[in-house]
Amino acid sequence: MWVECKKMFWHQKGLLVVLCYVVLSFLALVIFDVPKNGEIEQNKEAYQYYLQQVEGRCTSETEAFLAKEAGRIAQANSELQRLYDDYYDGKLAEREFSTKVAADEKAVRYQKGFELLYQQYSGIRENTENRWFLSTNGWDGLLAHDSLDLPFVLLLLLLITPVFCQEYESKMDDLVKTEPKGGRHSAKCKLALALLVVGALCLLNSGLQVVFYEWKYGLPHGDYPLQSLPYFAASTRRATLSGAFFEISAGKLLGSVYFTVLILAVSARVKKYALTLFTGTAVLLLPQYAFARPSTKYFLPGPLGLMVSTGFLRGNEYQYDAVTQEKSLLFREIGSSARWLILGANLCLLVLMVALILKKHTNVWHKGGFCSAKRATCLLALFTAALICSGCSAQKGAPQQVLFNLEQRMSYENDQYRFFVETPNTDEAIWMMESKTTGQTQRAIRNPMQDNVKVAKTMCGQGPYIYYLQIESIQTGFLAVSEHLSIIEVDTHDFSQRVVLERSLDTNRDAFLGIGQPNEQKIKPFQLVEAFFLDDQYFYLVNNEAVTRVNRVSGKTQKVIEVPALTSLSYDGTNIYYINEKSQLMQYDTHTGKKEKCYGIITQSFLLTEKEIVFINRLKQNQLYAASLSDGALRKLTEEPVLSFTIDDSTVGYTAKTDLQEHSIPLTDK
Amino acid sequence: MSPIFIPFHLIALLVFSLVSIGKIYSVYAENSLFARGYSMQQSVQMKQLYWGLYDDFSGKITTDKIEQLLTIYRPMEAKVADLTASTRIDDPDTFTGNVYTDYHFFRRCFVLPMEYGYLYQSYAGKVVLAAKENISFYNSVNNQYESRKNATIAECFSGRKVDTFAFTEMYQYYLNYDFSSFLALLLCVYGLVGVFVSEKQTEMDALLLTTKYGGAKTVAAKLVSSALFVIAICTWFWLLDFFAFSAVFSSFKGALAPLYAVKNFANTPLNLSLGQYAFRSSVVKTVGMLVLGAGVLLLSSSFKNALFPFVISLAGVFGLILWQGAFMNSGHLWPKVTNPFVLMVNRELFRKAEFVNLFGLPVPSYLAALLMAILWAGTFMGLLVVTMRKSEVTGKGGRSNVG
Repeated sequence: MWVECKKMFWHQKGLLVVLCYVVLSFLALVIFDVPKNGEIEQNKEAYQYYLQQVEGRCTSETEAFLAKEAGRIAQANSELQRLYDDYYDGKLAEREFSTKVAADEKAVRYQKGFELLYQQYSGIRENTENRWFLSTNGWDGLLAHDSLDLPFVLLLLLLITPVFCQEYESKMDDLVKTEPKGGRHSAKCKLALALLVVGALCLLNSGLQVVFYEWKYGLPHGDYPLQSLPYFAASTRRATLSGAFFEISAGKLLGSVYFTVLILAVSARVKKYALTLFTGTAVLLLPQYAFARPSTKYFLPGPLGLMVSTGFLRGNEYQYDAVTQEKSLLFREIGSSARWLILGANLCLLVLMVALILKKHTNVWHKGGFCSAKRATCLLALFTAALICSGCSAQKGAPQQVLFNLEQRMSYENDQYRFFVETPNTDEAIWMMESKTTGQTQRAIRNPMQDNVKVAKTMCGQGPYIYYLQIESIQTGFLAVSEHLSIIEVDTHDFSQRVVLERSLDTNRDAFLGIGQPNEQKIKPFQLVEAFFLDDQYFYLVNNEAVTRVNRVSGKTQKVIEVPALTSLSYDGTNIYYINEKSQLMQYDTHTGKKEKCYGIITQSFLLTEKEIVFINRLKQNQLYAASLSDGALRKLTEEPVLSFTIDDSTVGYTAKTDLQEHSIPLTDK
Repeated sequence: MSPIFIPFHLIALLVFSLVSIGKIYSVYAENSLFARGYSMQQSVQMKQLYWGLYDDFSGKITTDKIEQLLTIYRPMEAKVADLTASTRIDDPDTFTGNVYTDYHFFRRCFVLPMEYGYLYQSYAGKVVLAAKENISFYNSVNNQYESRKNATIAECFSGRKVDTFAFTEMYQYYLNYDFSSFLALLLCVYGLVGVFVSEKQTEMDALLLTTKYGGAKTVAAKLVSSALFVIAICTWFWLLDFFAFSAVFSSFKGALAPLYAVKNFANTPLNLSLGQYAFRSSVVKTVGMLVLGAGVLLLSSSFKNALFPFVISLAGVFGLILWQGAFMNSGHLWPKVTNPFVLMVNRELFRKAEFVNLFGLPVPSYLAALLMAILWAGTFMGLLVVTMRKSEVTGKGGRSNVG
């Protein structure tokens, strides 16, 4: 046994392969793992605050607590609104205001956490018996997927196939039959070794995952019902989370053992590497990719279902079909009788295959090796390098002076051109540009093929470069459509175009075998983008309540600003100015990540110019003011209260509250 | 190929073919307008209804036909507009028994496709106009590349029209089907990993070099037979796809309609009929398979047994699939066309007129992808020949040593 062990791990480089697998799979976990609900991780403190009050079964007290808390937060918010209004209008003294406001601010301190918990509650209340409150990211990462671990399959192929194939391929088997220990004894030894190794690898793999998810998110409350995870919510099984994990791990172990025996049996029968490898792969990969419904693969006898195993614990799931207007089955639950039947059939096959191996087997190990490992490493390195290089994009030079106002996103100006949307009130945006030298007006976006493409009514620029956003619809079926967002850079010197950011907006795009589909988490920040701007490192995508920044190289996203409603927003190349829920003007430094109040300005609407912030001053009866960006010095622009205003070159156009008429004044300092 | 293998090859081919046919049937059952969500009986009824009406409306789109269709369709549309029509399923005044089903059936099967065809001519005209405008614009800003690109687009789109109405639903799914490529790929990998290793295992390679037909001739023969094997497997699967789709959708019609009659290909750079496109796409897929095959052969020549070539090929294929998926529908054209696997999913190259800037010349992305593929194949073959030479010179055998 020891000799065979040495051959498997030493002569056939098994140890090296296993080590590579362990290191790479752990690295892959660390690098590529994204939480199922990223918002929970971003608002951990707030979420935990509420979660620890309701953790466990959803009782009537819990429901009452949530209802009460929802009411309390709503009331506190409206109270806060009233207090701030009164304070800004001068009806409330500062001291009185700060004592009154403190209590309400405490109540809404963890509002985001409450919202997240309430989302969870909306799923839980459908069946409070077995759906309990707990933090699910760890368990979701560990259990809630049905993907085949392809690197693990390749590892098994590398370790197990040579066990019997080695001698057959070099025709040594006839020779070793003459050995005293070359008969069934050695076959048994090999079988036992293979099974032990596979078992150990399976345990190692599961252990690695447990350690990782425990470390990253925690795996609390293993004794809670399995249905607490939305992925298993429809299940009719009675199982706890840790019970389910053990069952799934046992399934994977059994599946891997089954797969091992299958490879050994096939190799004993066909005596060829290629055929053994091909059969083993086909048995796993065909059912994995051939069926549209993910539950079908579990009903087939074979190692695949067991190797994935999570499907045995899922319930019936339906999806609303927009075409037939009926529910269609997405996943069929594997009933208990079906489960035992499948397991029984698989065990019978397993025993038969073991018998076949022992019947066929009379051989010993033959020293092997491979001389071209270096060449293979070079090839792999070449592939990897090609893969890595393909994702790179060039960087821009020195930063340019930038000025972006959310309200002015439908126009942009640089030294040569003025860009504007010709038809701002229609659904379709037609961007035009006016040359500053010749005064000629013509189309700005010059893609002749506009079918299936929709250009958004937002543009930003950096010196001679302008950026626009388009969404392309791609027909993936007779009726099905998937959307693809791209931000395109145009160099206004010669109007050459370049895609700088793109993302699929659908989880079911038309990919080869459905491999590499983006998940919900990845596409969410890119949906409903109203405007965007950028610096050298990041894109900032603005929707109606948040600003998300996207790393230009890695594509990683992070929500940097979140408020109930984004009305005004500006960017000057370093700072993002926005209004928070208390009507305070805030300044977010994109370099340091610091958020602070901007000169104590209270407003509902503002615009940024190169030197000043022009705003409707809430503290001064909505008169129009301008604050200097350098020192915050205020100057009054209008005597009358203003409803809304625009800035065009150096003229301010405003609608007065008193007469509802449009007026205009020069912006320049008198 | 050893004669013992032939029966197994045939069995594998048969099983894989059956799996492919099953998959094609499931594509039909899940998506087709005639099958989706309907019972067998309803499905048959839908088909009968469609093909009954098809004779009236197919062929050249004329105003008479449009009016005739609208006299049937308009009243239905009016009835269901406010969603108050009866939902009974045995209404004798309807085609299918239910007015909503009627409405959807006519809308999806006749009105929308005919409308698309009718409007395509003006769309193509707009594209030509815009492209021509762009030519002078880009000339004015000294951008020769964009100007040339627009000239190509204008030329491509001029005179395009979809003047006939034909059954194109089958093509919509046929053109997006790629499970058979995966099956063919598995078979090719299996067939090719053993090509060079079998002699190495028994150290026959050294012996072979001493024979009259050894060395370069053996290698050449192996390469030719491998290419023939790949072409045979591919041809079989692509033919099977076409006939299985036609049989399952019970129609061979539509092959003469232009490719851009399928909405997803509205911006295609090709002026081909659907039938011609099906052929061209198959050829491109086969080229892709040959390139991947060359890679597998290189691996096969680098190892002593089939284990590592197979596992590396499989990992490589999945790597390429992930790479291809990452740049699906992408505007980053170079990383898209450098991946030889894109030839296997070539609707990605033909769906939209995209051009790669090659020394200032606008090269259609499919040509660029083919060029890159040839480059890959050349590299693989070159490396293969180099490694073979090396073994001749420094190996245990070879003409130079045997004399």
